[in-house]
Amino acid sequence: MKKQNLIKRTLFRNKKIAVCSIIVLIFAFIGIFGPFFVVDPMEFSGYPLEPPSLAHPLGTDIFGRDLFSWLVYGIRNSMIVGAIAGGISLLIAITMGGLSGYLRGLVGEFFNAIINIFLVIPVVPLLIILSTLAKERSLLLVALFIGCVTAWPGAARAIRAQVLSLREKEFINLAMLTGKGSKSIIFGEIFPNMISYILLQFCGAFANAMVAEAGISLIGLGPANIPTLGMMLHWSIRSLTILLGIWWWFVPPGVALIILSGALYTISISYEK
Amino acid sequence: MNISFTLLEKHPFLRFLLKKVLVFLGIFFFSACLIFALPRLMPSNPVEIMVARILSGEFATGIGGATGGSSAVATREEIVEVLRQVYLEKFGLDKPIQIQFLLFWKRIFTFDFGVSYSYYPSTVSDIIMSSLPWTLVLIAPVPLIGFFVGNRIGSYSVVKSNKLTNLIFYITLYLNRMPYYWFGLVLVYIFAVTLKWFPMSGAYSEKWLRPVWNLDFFLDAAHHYILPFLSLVWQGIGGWAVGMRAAMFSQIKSTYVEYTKQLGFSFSKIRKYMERNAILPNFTWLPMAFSGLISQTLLVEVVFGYPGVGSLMYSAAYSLDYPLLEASFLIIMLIVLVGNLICDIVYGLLDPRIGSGYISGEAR
Repeated sequence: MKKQNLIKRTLFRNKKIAVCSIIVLIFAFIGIFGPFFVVDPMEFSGYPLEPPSLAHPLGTDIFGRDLFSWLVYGIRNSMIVGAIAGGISLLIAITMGGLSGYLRGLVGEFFNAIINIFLVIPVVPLLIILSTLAKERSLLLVALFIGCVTAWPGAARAIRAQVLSLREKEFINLAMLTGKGSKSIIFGEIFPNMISYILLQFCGAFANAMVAEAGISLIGLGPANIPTLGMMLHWSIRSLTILLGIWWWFVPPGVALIILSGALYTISISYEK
Repeated sequence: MNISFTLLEKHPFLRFLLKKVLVFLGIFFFSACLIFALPRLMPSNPVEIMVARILSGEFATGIGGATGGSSAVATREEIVEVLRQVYLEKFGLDKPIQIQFLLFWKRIFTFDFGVSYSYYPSTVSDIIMSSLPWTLVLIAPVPLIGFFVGNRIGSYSVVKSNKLTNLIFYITLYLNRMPYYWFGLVLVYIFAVTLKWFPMSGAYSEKWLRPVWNLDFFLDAAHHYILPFLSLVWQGIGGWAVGMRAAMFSQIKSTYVEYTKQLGFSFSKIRKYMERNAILPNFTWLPMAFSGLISQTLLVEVVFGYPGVGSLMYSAAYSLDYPLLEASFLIIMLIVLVGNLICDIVYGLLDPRIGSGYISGEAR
């Protein structure tokens, strides 16, 4: 009951968050139900490079495949990658951030050092190397790579700061004095107070993971043969559509990515005010 | 020994610097170990992938033709085995793991990563050294411009909070969050294809086969430089602006601002005091921003066909040139760490109480 109120309060604290949540929900709706209403994006359903028309709302690509259905499938797959990678990175972030914030002494410092090292290691080169080493790049594997590499250090640092400040609060001291164990303090006292914050961090990790997926797919090292937003950009570059002036191929995936990641990002920073 | 200790005692800046260098050496060691361990921990190592690719006919090696008949099946397997052996030897994977590890560090210290597979006669170090300057040129001005412009935007959006400054702030914030590679594509479409103001890709025109030192070449390179630079610079500005705004919000509530206002200090003077105080905690976010910037530069290089380390990694990834990938990653780590060290030196020079700012920044 109390937890639900907390989430509700955070989600509906102001109009901006409400609007952004609705945008994300609309995209999720498109991703879940959209593929049932469009043709298969890998099917040749029209003439090559048709401009947008009623039959093909976003035109067709160089092989005559419908770009609108590609976009719909792309939104679905990119959101799947974002959700999985965001979830994994959040799990790592909670573990690392929580441990480094809660534990004192050398052990805490050790976890903090790991966070700081991963903060410094650049993401894209590491992802390039990981994708090169993978034999078959499935959607899940790429999501796993992104989750383990990309989004967690920033979130871990934020969670660590949060735990550090919560740890000094009086009710934690009180809980310690009454002889509660570490486990019940962490799960009974600290985390219930952080759930809304963790949800917001999830939105940020979600957005980061999607942008990272599109980036790695853009250079052709993302999930193989699975239509994502990044793969759409990749093929538009490889087919030299920019030179030909075919804007309906590379503009829609970028716009979709910006709106979705922008909305998620706005939600994730709303806490700071 | 004793003298050096007293030197460190007397100069907190030296002590701070030494500590930082040690930390960065540690991070470099860790990331090098990571890059050593990854291909050995993965279920499929580069050799297996390479052999698989050759068998599937992706590389023109002539093996495909030799395996045409059904009687040649045994020979095919023999060829695979020979291939695997050759590659294992080339990657040095046939030796025990401790020796491999030592050889790996020898390669790093002598900066000799052998001959590249994809650019066959040239060595990996030569290739990297020829593409490194382009990446550095592309990256170096971004944090600097971001520092001056971004800090200004961030602080004005707090001190002179009105619709215009807030609008500018939010535009930079979202440009910062925008998929930068896509921003690069749009820039190419508008300025290179439609308006034809700038060239589409590359770092210099094709009439120069390689860089030469004269004014014409310099102007041509600058002409090619503008679009990739523009698609990167927003990242720097946005990152600084966000941090500055948060830091300025915490400053504006403090008592000294109120006090100086009561004393009738001029607006710009108060702003300067506040900025000076707010810049310090802002610095603590720089490591993250800097490694993010490197990632972005690599992708932007690929989008623009800019001949830097990013394009190098891209082509190395496609041709499975693992030594080149390894060396590129290490050189990128070096750029990140040296960049961070420079930032730390600037930070140390700015901060009279070295170190304390870091602690307060972390608790934020």
